Amino acid sequence: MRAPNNDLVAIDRPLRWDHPLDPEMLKRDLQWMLNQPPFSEMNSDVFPAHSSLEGVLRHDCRILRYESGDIVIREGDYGGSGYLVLRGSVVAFLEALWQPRGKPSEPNGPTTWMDWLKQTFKPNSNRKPASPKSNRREGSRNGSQTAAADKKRTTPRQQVEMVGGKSRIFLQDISAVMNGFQSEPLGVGEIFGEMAAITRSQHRYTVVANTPTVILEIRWQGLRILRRDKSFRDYLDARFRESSLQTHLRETPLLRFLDDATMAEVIAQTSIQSMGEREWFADYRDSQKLDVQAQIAREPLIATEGHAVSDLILIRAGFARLSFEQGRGHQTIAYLGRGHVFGLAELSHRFRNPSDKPLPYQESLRALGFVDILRIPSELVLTHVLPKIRNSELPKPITNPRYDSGGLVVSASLPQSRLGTVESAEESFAKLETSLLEFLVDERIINGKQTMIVDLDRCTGCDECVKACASTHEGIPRFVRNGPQFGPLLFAHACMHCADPVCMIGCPTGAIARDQDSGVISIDSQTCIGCKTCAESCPYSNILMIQVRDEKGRAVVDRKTQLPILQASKCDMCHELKTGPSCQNACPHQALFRIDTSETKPLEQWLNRRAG
Amino acid sequence: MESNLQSQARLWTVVWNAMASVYARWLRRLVPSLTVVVAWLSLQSMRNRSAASLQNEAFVTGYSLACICVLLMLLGVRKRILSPQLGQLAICQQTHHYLGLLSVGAYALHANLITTGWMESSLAMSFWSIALTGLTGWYVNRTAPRLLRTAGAQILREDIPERSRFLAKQAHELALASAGRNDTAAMADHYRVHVSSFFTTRRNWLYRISPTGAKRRRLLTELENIDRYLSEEGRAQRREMSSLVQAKDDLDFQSAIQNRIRFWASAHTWVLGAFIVLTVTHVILAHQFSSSW
Repeated sequence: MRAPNNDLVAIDRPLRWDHPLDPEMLKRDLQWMLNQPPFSEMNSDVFPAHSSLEGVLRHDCRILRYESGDIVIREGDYGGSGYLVLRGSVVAFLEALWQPRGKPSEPNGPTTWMDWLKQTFKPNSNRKPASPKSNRREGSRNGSQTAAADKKRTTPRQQVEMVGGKSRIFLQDISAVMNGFQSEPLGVGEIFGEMAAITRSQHRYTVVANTPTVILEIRWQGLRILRRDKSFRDYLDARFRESSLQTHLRETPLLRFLDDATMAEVIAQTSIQSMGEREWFADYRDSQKLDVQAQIAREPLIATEGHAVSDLILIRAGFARLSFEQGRGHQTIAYLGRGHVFGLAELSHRFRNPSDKPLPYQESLRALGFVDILRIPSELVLTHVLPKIRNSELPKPITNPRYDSGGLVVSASLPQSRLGTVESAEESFAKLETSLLEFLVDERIINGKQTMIVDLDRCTGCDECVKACASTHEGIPRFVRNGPQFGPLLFAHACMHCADPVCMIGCPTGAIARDQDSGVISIDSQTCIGCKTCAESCPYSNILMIQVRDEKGRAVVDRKTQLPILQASKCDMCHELKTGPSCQNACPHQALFRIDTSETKPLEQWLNRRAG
Repeated sequence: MESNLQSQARLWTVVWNAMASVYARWLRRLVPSLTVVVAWLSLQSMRNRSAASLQNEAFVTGYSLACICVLLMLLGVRKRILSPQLGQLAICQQTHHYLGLLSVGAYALHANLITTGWMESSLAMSFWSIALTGLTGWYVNRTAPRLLRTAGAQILREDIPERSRFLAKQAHELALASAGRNDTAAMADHYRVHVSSFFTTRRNWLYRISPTGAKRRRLLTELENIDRYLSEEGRAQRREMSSLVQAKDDLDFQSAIQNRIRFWASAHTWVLGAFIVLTVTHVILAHQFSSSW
């Protein structure tokens, strides 16, 4: 651990564009880009002096050159940039070229000597072959076509080659791959990858250069400034809506049996709707001061219990609260995230019992923060989708409805989980006790992909975890062993590597970013300028501002003001260590765990293990 | 029919999972326990064989014990080397517990439980002290977390003094607010005489060793008894004071239990120093005065 030193080191305060994306960009290239559409068509007056169009192109962009077959973006990687085709063309594969990759590093290592023995002596235990069921799910949406196509095509192989000291990853025989998989060409002036950058999520498709291609990478910070130009903003929004709608519908297992014509009709009739604010953290902070019922009342309603089922609702991004009226308040029974469906149970009931009066929505659905939803008209679902789904894959029949066509049924029992994707309800939604569910939703812990949970029935407060964290991070721990508590579970103030990392929204330099492969969000100390935007945006206060010190332990201050230079600091899951987070490894009592709380199932499984 | 079969299959799955869970839990404990027993029996057999061949069996058991002690001490080294590459600390800790059990068995074989002479007795005392502090530490570590949970939300040990000061300030301000008015002054008087020291001074050593709720109960009862002298507003203030007393007692309880955990962990380490010195002396003397290995 480094001893603090009372001496000071004065430096110039770091600024936003100190570290351009491409430090070697030529002036000639910059001029050429300014003369290319869409930049040549932009109104430069809308950009402020400190963020000029030229400045954005100079600092937030870089020109990338690809040969035919080179992979530009890969499905499943996390995106932080948009890509504009300047010359040549690329193809976006609408189907998955490879099986989804597992997590590169399993954070929950062996916790007992038995686990350790199992992991040590079980070869390739992490490389289970995908089950036939999962293969089927991840395949093409068209079941019969897939079976035929699978015979013809083989999984494309990624090749790596060193060219001029740089490695290029490419697909051999791109034309054969294009024949085997559904793809869409993108030409000069078209943008791709921006959807993942805007939503801070994974790419939903793989893009490969079709010919020798020149592409401009625009990092998210630059894209945000470029959106000041109205025409560019409108173009991005339209593309975002069209692209996200198509991609999500094609990925939805419920629709995988539709043929191309029916799918086109579904796409045409489906509407996309955004609820809540993308920067939801400010509103969340305000609403935290309110009574719980007032908080729920502020959440935008997506669907209301007792109302006629007009649409099948698909969650594309974000989270929604599923609740029903209980006394004077609302009881939460689940939270829905990406890929979940609402209204399927009611529509299935109508499909199975066509002579009965249709049931209305049995529960209400409310937006938690920012939610993107797709609405498929119910008539379309009844006529085109449900006839093609196996009965066993549909939700359980509603035997005791809370609402029927006459309104609230007084004798009805409390709603059970009969929601779901095309998988059965039991598979999709674990049974967590209501109070825990409500706690997770109210505290927005549902956003966490790597939530640190401390089991207070085991934790003795020895602080070995904190010491280990400090030892790994130059003497400064990156979490606080304190936070909201629910019974014996302490949800520590440690970065949860959220499904929707709002901390990344405002970062002016891109210093806080998500790792493409692992999804871990970390802060680059070289580019962080200490503006505090991320720390103030984090709804969980999991980002700390610390004083920068040099290698001798001396505090670094601003040369002009003599004020300390700060930098944001947060848990990075010790991503440089192959063994996973050191806090977890250092706990002698097996009290500290990392769990994905964006789904209820991992938490339920862990709670069962804990109880058993 | 089909659904009947399905529900039966589901029931069997649940039963099987429950049995597997119980079995795994027992297996987790059974296998290392058996390993300890086997290791002890092997040591005993080695000792007997050594005695039968007219060798000095004390060297066999003594060096085995020394090896076990070195392995036990490696946990301390592992805790100081905060390298995740060395595996999970929890696994080392579990191994330490089972090796500790084995060391007691090995000691019994080596020294026959009762020792004579001041040097040997000191060594024996230090060994048993380590064993006792280790065992107590293990027990405290198992029980303390649940005790802590009974005193509300977990509070970081370093935050306790500040929170205590904050509570004392709140209680003092509440007492000041109730002073100077006939219908509420009884609480201020009671606070000055009976309660203020509870907020401003440390609890006695007996409480810190074995915290109980006796004082809290007494203070709360006394506070309730002054209700008859208070107006409705005064009673509300009294209830607030009671909740502050409760909160302060919870803090003291947390502090006592957290200190207990740290004390036993430290005590285990302190005795270790004496044990190492005495062991080294013992080994030198044994070699010096022994006729044969």
